[in-house]
Amino acid sequence: MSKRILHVDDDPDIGTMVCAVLQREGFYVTSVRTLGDVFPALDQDEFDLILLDAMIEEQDSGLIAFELLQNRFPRVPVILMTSLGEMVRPYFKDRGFDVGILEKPVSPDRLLSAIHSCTMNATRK
Amino acid sequence: MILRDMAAMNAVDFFWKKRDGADCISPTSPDSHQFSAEVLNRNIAWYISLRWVSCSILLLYYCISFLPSAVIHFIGVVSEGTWSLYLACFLLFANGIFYVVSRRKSLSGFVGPHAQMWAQIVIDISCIAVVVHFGGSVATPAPFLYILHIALACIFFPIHLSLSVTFISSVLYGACVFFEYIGFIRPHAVFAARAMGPLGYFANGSYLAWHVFSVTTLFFLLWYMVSRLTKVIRIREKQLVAAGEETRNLQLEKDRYSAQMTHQLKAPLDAIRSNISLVLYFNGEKIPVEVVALLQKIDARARGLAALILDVLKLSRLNTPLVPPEPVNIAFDEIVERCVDELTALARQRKITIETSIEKTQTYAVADQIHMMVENIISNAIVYSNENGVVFVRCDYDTQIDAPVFRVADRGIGIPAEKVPHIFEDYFHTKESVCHNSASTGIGLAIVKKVAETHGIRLKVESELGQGTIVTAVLPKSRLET
Repeated sequence: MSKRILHVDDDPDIGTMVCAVLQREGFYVTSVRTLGDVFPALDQDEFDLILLDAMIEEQDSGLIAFELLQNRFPRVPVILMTSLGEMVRPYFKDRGFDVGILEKPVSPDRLLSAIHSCTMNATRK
Repeated sequence: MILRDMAAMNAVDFFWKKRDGADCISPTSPDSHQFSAEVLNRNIAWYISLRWVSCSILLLYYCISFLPSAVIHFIGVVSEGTWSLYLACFLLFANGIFYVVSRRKSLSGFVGPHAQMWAQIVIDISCIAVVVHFGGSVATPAPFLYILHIALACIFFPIHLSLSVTFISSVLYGACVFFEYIGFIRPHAVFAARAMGPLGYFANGSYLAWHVFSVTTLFFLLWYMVSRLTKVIRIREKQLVAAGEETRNLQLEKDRYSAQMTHQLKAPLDAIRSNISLVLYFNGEKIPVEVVALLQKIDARARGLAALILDVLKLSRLNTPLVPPEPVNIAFDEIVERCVDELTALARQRKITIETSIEKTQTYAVADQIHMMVENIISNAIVYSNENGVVFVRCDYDTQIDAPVFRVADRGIGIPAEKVPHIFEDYFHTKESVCHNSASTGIGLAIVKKVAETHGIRLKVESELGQGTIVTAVLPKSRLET
């Protein structure tokens, strides 16, 4: 059964790229552009992974959204996409989250490799 | 080895102390004119040093009594010095206590810096009363010793406390002269010529009254003038502190705005690059080779621009971090190796060889910040090297200075001697650097400075125009894990 991925990014071009690449690899992708659409999408469907932009809508709002998502859907792994790379990791240090970080801009190969390793880890757990 | 050949260069040491907000006047209490504990502690230490000198003078005066009487007569001093021995002993004892208390940090309340300063002034004024009596209350300028403490009280204490010190000084002086006049205590004087005279002075009551009146009036005049001047200075200090605070807030606001702006600038570039990668991913084999090359060129230029914007973003994020960074013990050698690996492609592109000598080293720092610092220092060495050049990267533990040391040397374009002190300023670049690398923005070394400032890293830059540059960083030692 194909994995279901929720992609959250306010940039339509990034959304198009992620959807196209993942759909070609057999993933089922739902793309949302605002944080307001994230929870309705999660309530409506079950997802195996969330790809979340760290600076969606406002600076660092993605980081707060990451916490909310992990608290409400602890079984769904979330990969944070950010230009700042490891610079955002200290934010999660004391919050007890195991955060996956994907540095933007992301090439199709890197995106696929990150998603494969994250979904495999989730399956093992 | 590059390092050995480049021994005689212009060298500049850099160390930026992280601001801890220890201003002269506490910015947290806008209505208060109190100096901060740090300023008071510094002055307490100075007071204590002065008191050791005073003790020495008193002991010296006592020693005069051991000189032959002919010599004592020649220098014109009265040798009744036992009082000076007792006073010196008392002062040594009191100063010893002050010294011990002042060495203990974070004291407050009854043993805090304000209380210490107050206790010292009280003890000093009491001792001055003794000196004034035995030195000659009317016959010598001894009463003017009070002036020093009145002035100091005006500087360090609120106005009502400095007025109290002035009042106590006046009362002590008036009482001393009065008791000497009525014969309750015998007048003294240290100078032989005057010693004959005290009784003469004390025969004339109205003279004494005018004398005491003049001296105490002088005390109050001095108090008025110094406290007024001090008030003006304190108001100025407060304005400076407020201006500094405002500048810091504006700087933070600028950094936040800069982070937001750079994100807005970078987002379209990421989108352009995503679209290019999408085209190449799906149609790479169908597109003519020339078009693929063109797309790759566009991607390369966009990547370069995105890297510059990312540098600005990282710099503004260092100034306004999401959470205060927590340093831990990290394997510094692994960070250096990772940076060298990441920069090998850039070096190859510029036909530069990177030679390394990396030993296992630990440091106590924030890993991603140290990574940024190392990456910027090495990439600078690569970028400003001439073609076919060599960049030498060394990391080891220097047992002489007992700290991890990181060093990068190149034989590149070098830096003019007069420009070296400015290279860590934001957006600074030299004419030579821009000619050599048109993409120079002057942000890389500003990031290095910020990381060095945060971690207390000492940097040394040795450079010679046309010869090359050596950058040395002395990092914090690793700490025992608790």
